[in-house]
Amino acid sequence: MTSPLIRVDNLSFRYEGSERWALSNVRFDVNEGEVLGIFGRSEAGKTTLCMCMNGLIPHDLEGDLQGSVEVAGQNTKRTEPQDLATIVGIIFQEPESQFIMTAVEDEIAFGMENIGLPPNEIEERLRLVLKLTKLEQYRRKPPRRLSGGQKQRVAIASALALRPKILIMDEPTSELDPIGKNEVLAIAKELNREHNITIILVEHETELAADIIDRGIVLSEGRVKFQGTPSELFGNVELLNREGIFLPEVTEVGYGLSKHGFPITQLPFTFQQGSALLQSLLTKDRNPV
Amino acid sequence: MAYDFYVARQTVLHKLSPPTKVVFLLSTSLLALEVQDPRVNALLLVGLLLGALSLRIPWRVSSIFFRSGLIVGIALSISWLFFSKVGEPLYRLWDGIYIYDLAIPLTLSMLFRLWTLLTSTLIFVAITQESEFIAGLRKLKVPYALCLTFALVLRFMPLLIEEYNQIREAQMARALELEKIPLLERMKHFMAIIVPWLVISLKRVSTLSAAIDSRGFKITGRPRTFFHEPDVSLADWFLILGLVGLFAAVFALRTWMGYFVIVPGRL
Amino acid sequence: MMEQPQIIVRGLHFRFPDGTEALRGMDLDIRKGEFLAIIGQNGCGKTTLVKQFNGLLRPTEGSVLVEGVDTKKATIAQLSRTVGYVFQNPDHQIFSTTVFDEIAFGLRNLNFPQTDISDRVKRAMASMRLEGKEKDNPLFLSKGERQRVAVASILAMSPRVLVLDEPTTGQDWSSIVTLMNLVQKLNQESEQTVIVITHNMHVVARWARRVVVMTEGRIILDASPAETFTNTQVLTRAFISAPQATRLASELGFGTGILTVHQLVDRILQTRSPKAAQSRKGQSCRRQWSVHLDA
Repeated sequence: MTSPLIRVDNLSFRYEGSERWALSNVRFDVNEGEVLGIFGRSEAGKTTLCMCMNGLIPHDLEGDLQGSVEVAGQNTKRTEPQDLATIVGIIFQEPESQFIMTAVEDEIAFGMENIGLPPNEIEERLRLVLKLTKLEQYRRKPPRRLSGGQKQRVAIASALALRPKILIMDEPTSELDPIGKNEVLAIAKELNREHNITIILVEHETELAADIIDRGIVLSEGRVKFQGTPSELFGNVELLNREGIFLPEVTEVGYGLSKHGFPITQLPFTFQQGSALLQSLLTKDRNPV
Repeated sequence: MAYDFYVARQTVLHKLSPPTKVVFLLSTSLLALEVQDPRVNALLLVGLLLGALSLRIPWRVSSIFFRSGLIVGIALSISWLFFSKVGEPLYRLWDGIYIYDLAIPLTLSMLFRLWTLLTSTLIFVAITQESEFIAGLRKLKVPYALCLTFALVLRFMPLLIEEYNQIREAQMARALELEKIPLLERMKHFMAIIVPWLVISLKRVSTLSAAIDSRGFKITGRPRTFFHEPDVSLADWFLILGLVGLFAAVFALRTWMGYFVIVPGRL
Repeated sequence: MMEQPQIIVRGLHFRFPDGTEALRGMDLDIRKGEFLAIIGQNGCGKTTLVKQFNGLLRPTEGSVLVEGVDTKKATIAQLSRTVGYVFQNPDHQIFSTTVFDEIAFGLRNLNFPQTDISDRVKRAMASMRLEGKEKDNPLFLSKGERQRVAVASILAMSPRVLVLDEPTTGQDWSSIVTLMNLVQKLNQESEQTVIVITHNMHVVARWARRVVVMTEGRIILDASPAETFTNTQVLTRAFISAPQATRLASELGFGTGILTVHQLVDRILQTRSPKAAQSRKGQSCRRQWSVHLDA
């Protein structure tokens, strides 16, 4: 049995100068190739948790870190974020604030220059990630000519260029319109399903996230209130409600019907599942055996 | 560059190597400042204007420079003309206000220098892409951290300006009318624009540095490489040396031999 | 005799100074007490349109009348008394050290007397559930609370039209529900006209009563949410998806009119046992299982 790619062991963290613990006793593992969804209210600690997984905490953002986070065998307390850059990539919420350079290719090349790749290898990887993120025609464009979704795809490409095993996406779609949201999550799905990249996805768009996650965690006031499979997660309607997490409408429909006596053993969480469920329920109903 | 001033053409000037372009900007600017003789200033200005014309820069770009040159030029000329006490009094305007004889050539020299700086900057931004500017600085041995800082300023300046305007609009939507407030009280109300602007900018700096570190900047044990390595031909090096030499020569001529000076002891 | 619409837009064209045509001719009437959502992909002109209502932008061609006043003839400050515009990012306007001062800002700019200011601030805070936070520093509040402070600061000026520009972006669901319920209460109790620009179709389905769909500077549909979400042609053109409940309803052949989960469940129950469903209509259904957050 291979060891997990990410191991968060009893992690607690308090920002410097703060009395409140941003994270308390967080414990979970992520296996290679998984997509882990992290859900919870604003300020529940989701971003803090993300930054603990690539070394930004405790090196760039100081504070009291207890417990440990191990990423591909490296302990984040002892490894600086720049040294983890080839293992973990991170995408932030605001497309504008993470775009450093003034042309797409320079932006993607920046990371590769940092790690000392020769120019011909930079060119090769550049072409590859542009293809993966479908940005070939935007290679020389400046950020102001790009849509929000395109900017986020550049951020993904820039992280991918360093060939990380893990991609952390912290609310990547929150500032995007529906097209942008779908673009970004479609790429995340493809990266995971076809290239085995492990993804940590923090999302408020539960309906979109439900489509891609393998496991889910609910954070509340710095603590893990739940972890499990999507069925288990979305089956726990009371929890999601309590934590102010948007319930996929198909799940809500299933829940409502189950309360009215329909025999539903597992609540659907994707549209296809909901559709299939309703079709079967209504045909069964019309043809009682 | 920053505001989309770059004009994508294939002229001789465009084909210069990035460091040459940077040196061009620096040397023409310093040269202009070094010379106080309006005739020589005019010569330099005309030369640069011809160069700018040859680039066929679109009016929407050059108009910005043209308009600022006109407005600032007129404003400053008035102050130079009437308030430079250099040489002997020539005309008497009102009690105690005279125009001195040397003020006229001095004003002309200052005006031409201002316009020279603007023109050489215009040429520079029209022929230099932002990545070239940074690469050029780097080739001139400017430390990369400084180059990166320059690049970030160029990248975020338009955004900062846009956000400033958004904040201004948000406050105007709450009936803030700065023009109607007397100057002394204006500062307090100006805070309504400056404070959110600073808060947002600081948050951005925080995300930026996180992004930079997350992409391996200053990774342990691996020296940095560069994707764009500009070609600097022999001709470029000659040009660079030539421009630097020209500046040095003019500097020497002025400082030790008094050429190009109308009023010694001042710029 | 019907009252004149509060906002009348006729033949509106708008071109930015750099030549971009943002609005390509539109007519729109907005009546008092409406709850209107404006939707469309980024760049279609939603914000450009609503900025015409408070004078931040003025028509290049055509006219905008706000309660009879031509926006070309009024200042932004004057129009701000009728049309309150809440920007997307509350951090773009918060600068005071106390919530009270932040909310009082607009009133002070308009030179309201001190007693009036106190009253209005208190009422605005109550309507946004911010009681007790007068002395708090707005920068230290949660994201949702900061947004409510921003809305309260606009409400304090008692504008008869409230414009919320993408209040859902970057907010978690419980904050969205809280805000939308509070705004809905104002709309129902004091006939506050509400215009919301949003990408969130759940907000549109659950709270809006009228939808204006825009694309490339034009209005391509002006209809109820139910009609909007079943108009596949418009949805495709504007790159919008209907909420899951509506899509499921379509698939099951339930026609238009189903916008929310509750409505879908009710409809399904009806097909199973129409008589039983009749007796449980509406409210009682809601009491048996409540998955909506309370206001």
